[in-house]
Amino acid sequence: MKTRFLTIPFLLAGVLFLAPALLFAQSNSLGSQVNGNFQMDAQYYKVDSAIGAFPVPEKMMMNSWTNITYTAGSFNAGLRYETYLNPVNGYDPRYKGAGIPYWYVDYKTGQFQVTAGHIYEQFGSGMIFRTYEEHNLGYDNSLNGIRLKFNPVKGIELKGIYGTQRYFWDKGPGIVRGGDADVNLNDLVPSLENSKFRFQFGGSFVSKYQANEEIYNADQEKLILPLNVASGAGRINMSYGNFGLNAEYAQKINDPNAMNNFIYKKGESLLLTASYSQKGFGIIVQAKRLDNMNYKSKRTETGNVLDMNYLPAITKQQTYTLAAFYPYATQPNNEMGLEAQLNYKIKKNTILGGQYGTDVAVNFSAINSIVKNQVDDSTAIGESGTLGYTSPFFKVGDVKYFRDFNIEIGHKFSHNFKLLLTYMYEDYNIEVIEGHPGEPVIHADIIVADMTYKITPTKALRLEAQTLMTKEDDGDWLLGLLEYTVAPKWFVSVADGWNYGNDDADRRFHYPLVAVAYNNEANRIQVSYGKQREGIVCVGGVCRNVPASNGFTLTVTTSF
Amino acid sequence: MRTSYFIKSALLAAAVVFVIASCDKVTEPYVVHNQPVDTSACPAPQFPAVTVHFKRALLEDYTGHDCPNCPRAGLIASDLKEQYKDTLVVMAVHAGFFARTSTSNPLLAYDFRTTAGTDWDAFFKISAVGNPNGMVNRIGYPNDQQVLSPSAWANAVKTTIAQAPLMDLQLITEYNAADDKLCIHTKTSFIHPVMGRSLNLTVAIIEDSIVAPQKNSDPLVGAVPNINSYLHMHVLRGTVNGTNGTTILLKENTSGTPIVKSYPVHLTGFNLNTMVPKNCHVIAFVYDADTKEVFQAAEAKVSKY
Repeated sequence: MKTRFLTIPFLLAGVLFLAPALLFAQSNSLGSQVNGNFQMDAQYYKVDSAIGAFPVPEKMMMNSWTNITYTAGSFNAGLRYETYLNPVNGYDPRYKGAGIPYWYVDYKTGQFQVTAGHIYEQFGSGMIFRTYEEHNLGYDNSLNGIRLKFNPVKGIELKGIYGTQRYFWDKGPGIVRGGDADVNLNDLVPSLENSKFRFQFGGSFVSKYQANEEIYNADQEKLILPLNVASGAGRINMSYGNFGLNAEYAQKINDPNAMNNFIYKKGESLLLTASYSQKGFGIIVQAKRLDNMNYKSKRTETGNVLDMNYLPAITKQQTYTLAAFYPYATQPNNEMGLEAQLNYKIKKNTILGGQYGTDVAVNFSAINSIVKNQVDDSTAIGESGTLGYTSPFFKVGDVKYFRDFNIEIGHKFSHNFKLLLTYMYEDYNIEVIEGHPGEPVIHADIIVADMTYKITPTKALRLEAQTLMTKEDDGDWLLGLLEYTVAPKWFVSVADGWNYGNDDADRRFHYPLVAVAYNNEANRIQVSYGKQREGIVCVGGVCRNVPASNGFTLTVTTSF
Repeated sequence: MRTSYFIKSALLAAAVVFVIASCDKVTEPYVVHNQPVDTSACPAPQFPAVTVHFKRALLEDYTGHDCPNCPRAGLIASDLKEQYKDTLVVMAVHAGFFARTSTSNPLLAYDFRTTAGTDWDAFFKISAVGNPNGMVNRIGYPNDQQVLSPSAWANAVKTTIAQAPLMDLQLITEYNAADDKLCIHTKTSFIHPVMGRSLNLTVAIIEDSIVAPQKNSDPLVGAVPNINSYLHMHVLRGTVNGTNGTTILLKENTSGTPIVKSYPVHLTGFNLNTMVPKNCHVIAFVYDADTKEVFQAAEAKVSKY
């Protein structure tokens, strides 16, 4: 099967690399251009049985990605060569290999744009269709097929997609078809072009087909499966001056699959976002409801692959290591949540604002389960081969999944000293989010102080002091990080995370990390040495261990 | 120019350090000596004639006592065994992270792991993908499609069993309790000539009804989060002829007359386990050494008593 992947790309690669030469005479008039980028992550592993870093037979593992794109006027083409020899720790081992899993050709002519090959596309917020690639997370669900875009008039865009999805070095069994229409009223109606009122609306429809197969419920009864599973979504985006409102609602018909235990209930999701902003002040409120919205192009798939849709997270993406220790993972089949974020700048030359002003950001998110009621007295909630459950749309369930209240205060004390203070209160339901039955909800308090001292205009010293306090899981942690930057070329950092509060005195490990990086224009080389704690990742009731590691990492990135 | 020179040298230096560090120094002995097998103690019996040929499937359930979602998968495997009876061979392979043992946690005290199970798990990448997962006849291996979630097992078993068999595999066991000697005899008879394939035969012992703790997330199966006296079924106890089995046909040869193999085994202390003979079964399967696809499987009880 891998060879099938290779033959077409090689032909294409030939065309790609020869075309510029052949077209050289025309290259000026066409404005042809070749761009590329490259990333390599190589890790060398040492055994450290104390932290759970087991021997790696290869001793060294490497992932790399090379992207090449070619543009000539309204034509463009691209490919990505990937190697995982073998995949570094934490990546799905089925990525092992090397080849060209991604290539495309694309041209625009008049009102049409045609893309053939592998496609990344998103309808609306992605709740019924989104294909994307995030190689640092080992994720790629690209659609192998065609995409057609049509702009009949200014302000209206129609899109259609048709294909199958990437499954490591192969393709998934389901065929994905869909269309999307987007209307921008301000572009469509000339009199509204400069209006303060902006209005855009759209709708999409997606369907998957997968051949029949035999699947049984717990009573050994064969399930009658829908071969085609359709979904639809409608959305509006509007704003008036400083106010903004976005809403999208999606629905999916019966889609019995391994992720929902083969129930026949329809899926529903709603995402609402309201915002207001003015100089020095901004507020954004989001609400989300997800019910049975896992949508994959293979019924029995439980891994982190073949997703047709993307359900956006509405919790803050924390960047400090300890604040990101217990990150929330969207529960596509069952969650209701709310997030609010307020940003305020205390003016300069006031008591609290000082000489440079003070930035305050307050963020809160709360995620709970949805309410599930029995369909009838004789059917257990979620029983396979039934409707599963009923769920009142506006009722919030009792099970607390996640709470995050955090406040971030940034203040510049002088032209060369800046302090950023963060406090975070977190409740993390490890039983639901990580699939550890019987384990209590983790409550953690996290404090981070981030200080930057500019020694000269190009040299800066940054210190992060972080603490995480919890009675659950591995107990308390401390983390210190010192970073020295000589702009724009050098970067050195030393860090240590210490699990000093582990209940088991023998497991109060240190996790040091030392990194040196050198940048030169678009090239970067980084060597780091460190230890990484082990973790368990669960998706769809299937769990795997990401082993601890101890060793060197070499990262090279370049682009042209 | 100097900077580009620097980058190149740094890159080269880092690569050299990485590659030099990636080496294994092997000390004596350089070879593993094969233990001679005394087959004279186990004379092959007369195999009964086979008139109806059918294909049997091998379902491997990769599991672990620390895997909370595995008991539900175990139930699916047992249900399928119930449904397909003799045409399905089920083997529960405890391997990977969730099968690890712990001296401090009594729930993880029992060691279910086997050398072959751990090797297969690593080779077919099952626990690295996650537990519970499994394989049916190891189909899909060359394209990384071999890992099947429990809900996909039924369909794969049905499709596999419906295929015409390439060969027949007969299994006879003779257990002498007094000497604790188990003689395992297999006979592979080709229904259609096989050529251009290397075939291996693996013989393993599995055991039912081992009582030991198991993590559990499904109230329909038992107590949550731990079942203290879980009945572990179809547990792989080890292979008789190594991780990859015995070669029975080479690629350059065409299959001919039936191939009979005999394996004498002492059950006590087999793979360092204490086993109950009446709960033990011998299983055997013939597979393609390149694609790993299992073509035929068989199962026989060790002893009635």
